[in-house]
Amino acid sequence: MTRALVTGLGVVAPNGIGVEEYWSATLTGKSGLRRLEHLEPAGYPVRVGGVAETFVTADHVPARLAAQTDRWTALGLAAAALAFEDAGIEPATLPEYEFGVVTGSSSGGNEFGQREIERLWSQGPAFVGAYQSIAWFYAATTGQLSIRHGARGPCGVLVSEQAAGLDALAEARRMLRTGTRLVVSGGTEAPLSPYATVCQLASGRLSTVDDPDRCYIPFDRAASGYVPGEGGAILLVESEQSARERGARWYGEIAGYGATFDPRPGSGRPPGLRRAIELALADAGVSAADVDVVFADAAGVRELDRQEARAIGEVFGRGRVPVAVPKTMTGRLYAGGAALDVAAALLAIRDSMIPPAVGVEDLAADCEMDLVLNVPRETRVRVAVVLARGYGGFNAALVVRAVA
Amino acid sequence: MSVFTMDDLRTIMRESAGECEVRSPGIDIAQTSYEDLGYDSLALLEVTARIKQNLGVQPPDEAIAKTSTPAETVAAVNELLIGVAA
Repeated sequence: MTRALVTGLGVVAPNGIGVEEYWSATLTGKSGLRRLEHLEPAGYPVRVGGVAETFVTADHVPARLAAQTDRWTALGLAAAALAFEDAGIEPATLPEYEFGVVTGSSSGGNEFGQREIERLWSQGPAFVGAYQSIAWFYAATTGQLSIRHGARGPCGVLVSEQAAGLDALAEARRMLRTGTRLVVSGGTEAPLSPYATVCQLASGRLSTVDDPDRCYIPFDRAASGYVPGEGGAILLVESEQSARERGARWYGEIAGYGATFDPRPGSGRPPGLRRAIELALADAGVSAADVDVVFADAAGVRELDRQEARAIGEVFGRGRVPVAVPKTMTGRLYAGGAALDVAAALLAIRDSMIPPAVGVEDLAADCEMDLVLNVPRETRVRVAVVLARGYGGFNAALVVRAVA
Repeated sequence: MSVFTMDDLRTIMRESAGECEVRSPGIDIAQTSYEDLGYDSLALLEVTARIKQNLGVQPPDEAIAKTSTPAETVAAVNELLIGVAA
C-alpha cells in the first residue's frame, strides 16, 4: 500500500504567513489574538479573535480571482501557492488526471454572502452579483484550486466544522490509493464577518472575555469558551512513489486516521473521541506508548475540556503524553484549525520541538495532563496524534509519523 | 442621448470582474474574444447586470450575452440606446 507523504506546507495564520514565520512565532509564544475592532462598537458579545492582519488578498490573488471569491478562498489559494513553492513543484507539470484537491470547509464564503444579502434587501435582486453563485459554497476553494492549477483528478470537500481538516487529509490519503499521485489538501477559514460571528454566537461556546490573554485558555479552571480565528494550512499529500521519483523531501507520513460521531444526547453512551483515537492508532499500527505528543482539540468549554482530558487519559494514561495546544495563539480556525495543527505536528517532528500553549495558568482538577506551557519543549518527536472535534458531534484523530 | 464607450465598458469589466489577464501592450483588447481575455460566462452575466443598472436599459438577455468581444458589446449597447431614444 502506497504511503501518503506530506511534501509541501503552506500556512496562513493570525501569527504568521508562511511556515517559517508561523513556526517561529509559535515557538516564541507570539499570539495573533486581537480585539476585533471591525465589530466595535456594535456590542457583539465576542470581542477577541485571531486576525491574519498582514494578509492582503491583492498580494496573493490576481484581481480576476479576487472578484469572484471570498477571503476564505483567497487564504486557501495563498496557502496552496506557498505549499507548491515549499515543495518546489510547478503545478502545471503534474499529470492532470493524477492530481486532485480535497479541502475542509465550514462557514464558506460568509463575508461575500453577507455583502450580497445586503444588496438583495437594500437594492433588490437585480443587484445581487453573479459570482455569489460560486463564492459562498463549501466547495469553492477546492473548485478554484482545481481550476487554477489544472487538477483534473478526484476533487471534493469535507464539511465537519473543526474536524474537517483531518477528514480532508484522510480523504486525500484514500485518493492516493486509487492512482492519484498528489492531492492538495488541508483547509482554511475566514469566520470573522458580522454574519459569521452571529452564527457562531448561537453555539454558546464563544468566550465573551475581552482580554486576548485570558479569553481562550483551554483546560484551565477559568476556561470560558474559545475565540474564532482565520487562516489555516494547505498540505500537499503525495504518494511515496511520486515523491521518490521527484527526489522530493518530505515532512512525514499520514499514518492513521479514525473518525466517529457522538451519540444522541441523553442516550447514556460516551462521547466518541476516545474511539476515534483508538481507531487512528490501530490504523497506523502504533500503540499509545509510541506516541510522543498529542495536539488537543481544546474546545475551551469546561465540559468539553473535561471529556477530552478524560479521553486522552484513558488512551495514553493520565499525564503520560505531552499535550500541545498552539491554537491558544491563533484561536480555533474551524476548517483551517486541524490542518494547521497537522502542519505544527509535522514541524514538531522536523525540529524535535513541541510548541507551547500560552495563557493557561491553572489546570482544572479534572483536566490533569502534561500540557506543554509557555516555552517549547525540546524532545524527539517521531509520532504525533492530532485531535479535532466539530460542533454537532464530529470526532476525528490523525496520526502523523516521521519517515526516514 | 448618451453614448456607451469602450472606456465605460472597461471600467465596468474591471469593477465587476477584475482586471483583464492579457497584459501585452500590442493586444487590442476591444477585438479580442472574452474567452482569450479570461472572462467566462459568469463574468459576462455580471457585466450585463452592471450595464443594465448603470444605463437603465432592459435589453433582451441575448442581446449582450451573444457578443463575444468588447467591441461587439459596445456596439450592441449603443444600438439599444438608439432604440430607446427613438
